Amino acid sequence: MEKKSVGLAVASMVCGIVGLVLSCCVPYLPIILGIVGLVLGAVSIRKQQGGKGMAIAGIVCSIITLVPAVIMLVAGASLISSLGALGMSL
Amino acid sequence: MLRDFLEPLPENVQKVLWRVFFSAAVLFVLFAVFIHANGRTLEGLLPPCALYSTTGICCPGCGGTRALESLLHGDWIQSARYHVLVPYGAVVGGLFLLSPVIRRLTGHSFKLRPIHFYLAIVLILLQWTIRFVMFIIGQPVF
Repeated sequence: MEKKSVGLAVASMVCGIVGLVLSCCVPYLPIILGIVGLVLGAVSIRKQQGGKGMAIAGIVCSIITLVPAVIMLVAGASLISSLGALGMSL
Repeated sequence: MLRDFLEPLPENVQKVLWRVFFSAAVLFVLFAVFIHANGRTLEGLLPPCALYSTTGICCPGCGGTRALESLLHGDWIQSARYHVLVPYGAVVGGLFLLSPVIRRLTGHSFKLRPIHFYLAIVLILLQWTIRFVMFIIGQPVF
């Protein structure tokens, strides 16, 4: 039986894990890693490649990475625009 | 099911991951040497966690920089207290990077398996959950 490739699933999971760990201190990288991990995991599942469990784990980690990162980005942007409207700056 | 967790990843994936781990390790060592040569620390260079400083809630990566600093000073226990993934990653990543040497010496090589990644995810989420509970009950997180 032909062995299915697990490369995309592993890449998705690695992006998710690294994104989770870096979600703290590096501002934009977790968003990029989260999106890449999400896309790779989705492509892996859609193409019915091997390592479905790893692809799902990658997608879950990517979502957990993306949610706080996007919230903080939106909150930061709204804070800066509010300060700008009041004529102040950070 | 258990076999899927324990079966080593295919050889081509292992090769790509080894190159990625090696590049990351070289970049990290160069970065650490550069900032310490300039009299700075990792902690002083990177910005504080925005989520933690605004809400008091830890993100999954909180403590990672301090854990790295502790590990660089050889304090494994303190490193695990700050972020358990750092010593875990150092052991697994170190063994994986040294796998060609281990293979030459013993005839057996260390191969990455899905369980190594699943365990990393479980450790991160478990630590994050414990810290969230400690925050809720008003206990110091670090």
